[in-house]
Amino acid sequence: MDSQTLGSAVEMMILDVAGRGPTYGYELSRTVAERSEGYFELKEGSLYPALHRLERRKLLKSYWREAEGRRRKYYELTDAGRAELASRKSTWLKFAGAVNGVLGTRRTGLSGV
Amino acid sequence: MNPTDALEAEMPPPRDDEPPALRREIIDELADHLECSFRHELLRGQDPETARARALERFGDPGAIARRLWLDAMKGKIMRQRFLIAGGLVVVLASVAMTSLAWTAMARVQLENARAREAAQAANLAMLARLNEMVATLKNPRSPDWNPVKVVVVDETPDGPPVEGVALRLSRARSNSIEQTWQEKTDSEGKADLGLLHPGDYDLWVDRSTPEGTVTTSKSFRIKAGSEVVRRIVCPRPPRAKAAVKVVCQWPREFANEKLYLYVPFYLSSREMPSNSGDDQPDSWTLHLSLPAGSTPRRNGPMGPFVMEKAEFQAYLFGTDGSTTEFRDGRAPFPWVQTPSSGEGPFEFPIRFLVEVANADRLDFDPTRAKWTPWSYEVSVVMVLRALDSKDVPPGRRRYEVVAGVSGAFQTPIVPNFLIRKIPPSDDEIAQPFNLITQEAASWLRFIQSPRFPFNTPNGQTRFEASLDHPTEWTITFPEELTQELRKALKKPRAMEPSPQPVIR
Repeated sequence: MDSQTLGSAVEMMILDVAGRGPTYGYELSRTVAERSEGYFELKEGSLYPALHRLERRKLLKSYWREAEGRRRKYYELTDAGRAELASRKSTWLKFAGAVNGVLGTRRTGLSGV
Repeated sequence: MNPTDALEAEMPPPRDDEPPALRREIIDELADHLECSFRHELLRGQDPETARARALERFGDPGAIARRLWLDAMKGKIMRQRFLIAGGLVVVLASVAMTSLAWTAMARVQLENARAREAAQAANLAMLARLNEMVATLKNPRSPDWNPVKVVVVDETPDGPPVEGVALRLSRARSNSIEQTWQEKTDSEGKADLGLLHPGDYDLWVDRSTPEGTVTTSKSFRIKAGSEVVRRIVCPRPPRAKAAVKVVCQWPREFANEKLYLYVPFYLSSREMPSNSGDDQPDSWTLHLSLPAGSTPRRNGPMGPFVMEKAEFQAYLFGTDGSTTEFRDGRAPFPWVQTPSSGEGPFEFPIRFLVEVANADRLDFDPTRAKWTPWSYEVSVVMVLRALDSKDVPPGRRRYEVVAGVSGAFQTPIVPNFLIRKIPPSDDEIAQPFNLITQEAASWLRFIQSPRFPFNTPNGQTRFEASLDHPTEWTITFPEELTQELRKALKKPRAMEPSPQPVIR
């Protein structure tokens, strides 16, 4: 997978995790790793630039909270981020379905994700 | 060093346009991530040292991530600043270029101005040099282009005294252009400077005026290139004194019983100066006498016949019936002059005589009574008149007719115009003789053209000099042509019959 496709997929996963509720960088990386069963392990060198890029594009918004005796930055999905996520998910599912169809490995269980 | 301080050291140097919280937020966010990772390792049972090492290992290079985040956040401002700097540089470079261009253009203009100044200065110097040459030329009397011309006028003789106030007029020969006429008057030394003139042919007119009259002349001369012209003019003066003259008329004896009159006008002729006056002297001088004081048109003596003079060849004869006989070609009015039945008094130019043939001897003037202006005189035309009335009619009322005439001094025929005036002139008309020209024309008579001069003086000339030095005598001889013409005319019927009674109006 090339870097452009991977970057787009990382952003889509970040938006999806943030769309489930306010989260912060370390938690978000852990969520992606757990949900991908360890396949995606977002490196901090990719995670935080992606978070800041999505925030500058107004797809995420952030705020700071005290937690465990220190400042923590939380991210949550904006309305624009929500629309963007829906669009990207639709495109991705069509793409993946088409690829799986060609490969004969279509999995119906992913359609509801 | 704790992780926060280590990250702080890894960050780029602070910038003035950096958001105040940016650097802190990046460090806090990454530090939180490391702390969470560290705690997670502790929860997995690792000792703190191992937990920290594994947390850092998983994280990678926090300093590099912090710098990237900072650069991502500041990229826009940095780029904008760089753009501004680049723009500024462009502006500066453009300004420098424009200044350079302007400087170059200004330098070129200054160079061109300097060249123009040099050219103008060179032209001015050339013009100045030309002017200096012209000035030098003007100062040089030997210049072939400009020749000084001076005139000196002296009185009567070559060594005579200078004459002041003589009017000189010089013009190009055969040119009537005012622009080519120079006028001056002689000063107290008789000198007149006519300036610098080009070579060529010129005409010089000289007018010398006195209360007695004006003498005039003209002389052509040539100015040669490179010459200095000084003309010394010996000028006569208008005579003041009067000279005694004796005139004798020799009538043929065959006309002694006829009531005839000889009409003789004497004209002031041109006068030649003595031959010793110099070769470049004018050929002759003309005299125009001023009218004597009180010589306005007038009647002198008894009534008629009168000859009214206007100018040369202008005369009237008035008959007792009021008829007027006019001789043509008059221009300026002249006083009435009594015909010299008595031959008395001074007679001015032109002098005319109307003499009865029976009294022809009375034309022999007494030198003590007839005074003439000392000048040259000539006779060019004579007429024989016949009286239509008897001597019983007073001279001022008598009528005359021209029966014969002759002219020898002219190359063209003279055709006098005779006007018959029905009404004698009034005093006002006499005072203004020109009014008489409007009279009714009645008849024409023709003059005889003589092939030779009709009159001979003792020295065979038709002219004579009235001189103060000695009494002048001049004899009018009857030319044969006039005698023959008169014989024919007397055989013809009279043009007008004598009137039994004169009509006096």
